[in-house]
Order: sequence, then C-alpha cells, then structure tokens
Amino acid sequence: MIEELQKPDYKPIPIMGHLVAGYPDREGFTAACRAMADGGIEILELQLPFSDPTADGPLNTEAGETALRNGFKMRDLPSYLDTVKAGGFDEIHIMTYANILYRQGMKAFVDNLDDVGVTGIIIPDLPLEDEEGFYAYTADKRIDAVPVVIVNMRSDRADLLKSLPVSRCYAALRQGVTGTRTIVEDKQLQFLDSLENLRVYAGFGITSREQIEALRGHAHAAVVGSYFTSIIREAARPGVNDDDSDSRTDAIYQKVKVGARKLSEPESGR
Amino acid sequence: MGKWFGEFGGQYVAEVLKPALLELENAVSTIIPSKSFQDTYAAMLLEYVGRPTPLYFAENLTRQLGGAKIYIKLEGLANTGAHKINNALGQVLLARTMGKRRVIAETGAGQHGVAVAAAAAKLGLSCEVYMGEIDVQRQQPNVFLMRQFGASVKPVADGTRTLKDAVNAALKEWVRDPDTTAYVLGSALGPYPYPDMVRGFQRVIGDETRRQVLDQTGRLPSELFACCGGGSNAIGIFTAFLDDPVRLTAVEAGGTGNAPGEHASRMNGLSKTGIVEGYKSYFLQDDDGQIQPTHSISAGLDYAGIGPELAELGRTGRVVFTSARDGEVLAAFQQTARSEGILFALESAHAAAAAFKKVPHMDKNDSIVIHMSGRGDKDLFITAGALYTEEWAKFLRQEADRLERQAER
Ligand SMILES: Cc1ncc(COP(=O)(O)O)c(C=O)c1O
Repeated sequence: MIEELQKPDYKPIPIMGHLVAGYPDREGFTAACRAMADGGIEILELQLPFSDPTADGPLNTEAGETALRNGFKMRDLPSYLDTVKAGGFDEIHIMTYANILYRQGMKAFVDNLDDVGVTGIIIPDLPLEDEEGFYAYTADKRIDAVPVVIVNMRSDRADLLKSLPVSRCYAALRQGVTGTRTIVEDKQLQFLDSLENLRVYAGFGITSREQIEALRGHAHAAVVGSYFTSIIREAARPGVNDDDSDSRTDAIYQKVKVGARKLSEPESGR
Repeated sequence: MGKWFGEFGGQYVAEVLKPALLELENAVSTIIPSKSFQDTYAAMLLEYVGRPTPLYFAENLTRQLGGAKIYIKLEGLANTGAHKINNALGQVLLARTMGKRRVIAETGAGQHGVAVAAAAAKLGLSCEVYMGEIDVQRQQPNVFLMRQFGASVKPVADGTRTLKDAVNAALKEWVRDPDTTAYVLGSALGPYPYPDMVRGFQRVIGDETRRQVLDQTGRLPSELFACCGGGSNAIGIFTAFLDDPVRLTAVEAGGTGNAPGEHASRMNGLSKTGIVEGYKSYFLQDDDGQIQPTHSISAGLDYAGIGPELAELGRTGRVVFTSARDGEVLAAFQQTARSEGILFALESAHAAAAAFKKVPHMDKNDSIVIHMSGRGDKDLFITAGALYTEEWAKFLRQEADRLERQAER
C-alpha cells in the first residue's frame, strides 16, 4: 500500500474534514481533531454552532445544539483555532451562518479572522447577491470568502458566481441538506469542471473512498462532514464510557482516526 | 413592497433553495394576478372561507369601558377558526396551479397547519405539517384536526421545539424535494416572496374592515389593534389603512416578564437586527447572534422574529408596538366572553387586552377596531387549565382513566 501511494502519478485528492466547535464537548473536539489529522485529513472546516442552522442535516443540527447547550460562545473561537492548528492543520476554513457574522458586524468578523491562520469563510445562507459586503471586505484580505454553490445551478446564477472576486468555492453536489448519501455522476463532474479558475471544495453526502476517488481531477478537495459527526456521536453516546472521560475521549480518537483512514487511504489491493 | 422593506426582508437563503424560490417568485407574479386564479380564489373566499367576516359593534364592552366605541373584526368566524385560512387557501391554490402534488407547512399554534390541511383536503393535495414538539403537546386539539383533514403531523425535536424550529424543518424538507412540493409559509415573514405574497392574501381583512367601518359609522376609526406574532393578521388588517390618519397598534406577547425566555416582544428594544430563516429583521438574540427562547401563553405569538414589513413600519413609527402580559390576556379573554359571548383566541386576546387599557381614556365619539384574528376553542386546554386548574386536572384524570378502562374492555 505504501508503495502504491508513492507512485509518482498517484496524487490522492485532499479531504476537508468538518467538525462542529464544541461537539461533543471541549475534550471530545480536541480528540476528534487530532484523530482527523493523524488519519490523513489535510484540511479542516470548523463549523461555529448557530441556533437556527437552515442548511444542516439532522446530525449537524444536533451537534450544534449540543455544543450550544454545553456553553459554546464565540469568544471561545481563538482557543478552538489553537486546537485545530496544534492538530497540524494549515488550511482551515470557518463555516457558520450569516447571523453570527452580522451580529459582530461583517467587517469586524472578517478583520478578526484575517491573519490568524484561517484560509476561508463559508456562509451557506449568504446568497451570491445581497451579501452584506462580504466579498468586498474579503477581497483585499489574506482570508478568502468561499461562496457555496450547487451543482447544475441556473446559468444566470453561475454567471453571478463568475462575477465575484473569489478564488475558491464550495460546491454542493446535490440539493437537500447535509447528511444523506450522494452518488457522484457525470453531471456533477461536468459542473465541477465548469468552475474554471476556482479551487473547488466539493461535498454533501460524501461517506466513501469511492466517492472521493470519483472527484479526483474535478475538485481540489472532497468535503466530508456528517460522516464524522456520525462517528463522533456514536463514540460519545450516553451510556458509553459515561463516567470515564479519558476512555471516552480515547474512543472518539480511535474511531475518528479509523474513519478518517478509510477515506484517506487508497483501498487495499489497489 | 417587494423584496425589501427599508433594510429589512431580502432572500437570505442557501443556493440550494434559490431555484425553488425563483420558481415561486415567477408563479407569484404570473399566476396570482391572472383572472382565472383571482376568480377561483374569490369564489372560495366567499363560499368556503365564509367571507366577508362580520365587523361587530361590541355594545356591552363599549358601555362598560365608557370610552371609544369598540368594534371587533370577527375573523375567527372564518372556516377553520382564524385568519390563517386566507393565506393557506391562496398558497395551496397557487401550488396546485403550479402543478405541485404535495404541500408542506410549519405551524405554531396549529391554526395555520389546520388551515393548510383543510385547503389541501379541499384542493386534493397531500399535506405534511411540521410542528415543534412543545406546540404538539400544548395544541393537541389542532393536531387532531389536522389529522382529520388527512394531513400528517411531523413533530420537530430540534432546538427550542417551537415555531422557529418548525420553520427550519419545513425549509429543509422543501430543499429535499422542491420539484413536487410547495412550502406554504404561514406568516408574513421568511425569504422573499413570502412576506409580499402573504400580505397579498391577508390584506382582504383590512379592505373589508375599511368598507364595513365606513358603512357602519360613516368615518374611519381612530385606532386599530391587532396582535403580532410573525405579523400576518396585523399586516392583513393594517394594509388598507396605511395611508389613512388611523393609529395602528400591534400587540406583542409580553409573556411573564422582560428577561430572555419570558416573552416574545421584539419591538420594545430588547431585540437586534439579524438575518435568520431567510430574512433580515429584528430577532430576539444574544450577543453571539444565537436566537433566544421565547415564551407566550399563546403558541401563535411565541416566535423570536417579526415579519420584515412590520419591522420597518415599527422602525418608522407608522405602526406602534405595545405588549400584553399573559395575565392581562387571560382577563381580556374572559371579559369578551362574558360581555359579548365571543371567545377570542389567546393570540387575538392580546389585541383586546391592549385596547381595553386604552379605550377608557378615549373620546366617546371615537371608534376603534380590535382584530379578533382567531376564535378560542382551540385554546381550551390552556385557558381551562389556567382558569380552573384543579377542576380541569381532575377532569383530565377521569377522562384518562375512562379511556384506559375502555381500552381494557
Ligand atoms: C388566531 C391567531 N392570531 C395570530 C397568530 C399570530 O400570527 P400572525 O402574527 O402571523 O398573525 C396566530 C398564529 O398562529 C393565530 O393562530
């Protein structure tokens, strides 16, 4: 397997793993983050919980709620970023909802995240138009706005995307919310190919190596979210290692790492 | 009018929802104005909803309070018991005309859910209603009614398990299958074109009221009172009067106090501008931008946001906002029942409570209109539980025993 990986023509597509800050709790988050890094995940998408997440599937909705119930506050963000960086991630994207930025002020939010090692900001409910100055504020910063688009969007919407001063985008591979399985087919790949000149992060319902392989050559990275939330949820389930937080944290670490490897390593026998 | 009301409104949704909203925008501007749609809708308002609803002179209350003459717009006499049917019927008819097979809706008090379920039954579409678990518990009679109309009720366990979470759940379901499904939103809020469309279907209330009050009194009233959750009944009755010298008062849920989680008053300085559930408006939220829990004795007003048009009308001062506490609302509910034989929905009783405070200080030559947006049958379990706690608890226990014994037999 190792030899396979080192073949010069084999370049696995990087994976952007998604974690909800504060989920399942502070220690569990740290364990999951380390496990992702150790399991071969190269990019981290850090979701800041919001009370009304209209684009999250049930798993991430519940994860965000749990984090808020456990007391997640925006002032904890620097400490979560430290954790992510300590895990070894050097490409980090922040994902959250418009109201979180709007409350701080769009500009202040962008300014605060510039120069702290965050690569991009992803806000699914901020449309390509009516974007509150988001793209202008980020245009002359090191931090990038990462608009969210959908496969086979109407051509006038695609043109809107092309008119924005952005260099990256997040492409949802199908309609619906996160958390259910997606089949990667030609029509999705053709759409991804049409996003020329953009670094494309493609996701929604990615749970297998096979899907990730299908994206190779068509996207810069594959985004994997609910898959990990589901693993963490299972490992942190009440009744499992309840009164032994060390072994609970350890279980999260082990399971997330195994889960990450399943996606990041080429299938054995390749 | 349109997408923006001052800085409020807009269409802040994920790209995945855009196609569905653009399709709806197109239908709103082409289908709704068409003669065939308007004729069909008008006929249904007449024969099915029972319009016009009466404007009733409340002689006894007027005498008791000794101030302005009190008129009540009896919107609660509309089929299914609240103003919600005007909008539900309009949107379900639109959905059918667009070729949709299924409608989904959110509901708080259950009145909108009942109205959509009835309209879907009448127009032959299948119907699913999303309802927060807490609302399912406190509005069982409406859950029962929705089922009788053939709708399936989906309890929502997310978040605060009330109206806003039901809106989120319905939006997510819509994104899953926008081709065959229409999302019928129940108040004058959410992303464009909903606030515009809902006001369009509800403004009939004010158009009627204006004609009726001129017929009956020969002049305009000095003030209108309407309760305000999302704002559909308020904007519905206010719209026809916006250019008149008539004071427009919207009454929010004062709940039990001013602390977060004790009320749903967004327009008294406790809320901040935000972008939530697809629109920009005032929302009760904390410093991080997390939406706060709300409380009201009436499920229909128990909501952290307010429709964008009312937010703007409140900001400019054209609509004046006040609130009524739970206790005042119950007292107003009893007073209208005893004095006039009219049972107000708890939501609408907020409007009555605010009016009753004001009327004694007004001139006898003035008249006011209270909007009874719904009738109070649906609230039996809340009002009886609050007013006759022990007796009601005993009755419920006996009923439960009786049903159990029956089941054993
Ligand atoms: C009778 C009645 N009035 C008022 C409302 C509040 O909604 P809105 O503010 O949209 O009229 C409701 C909501 O369920 C209701 O049932």
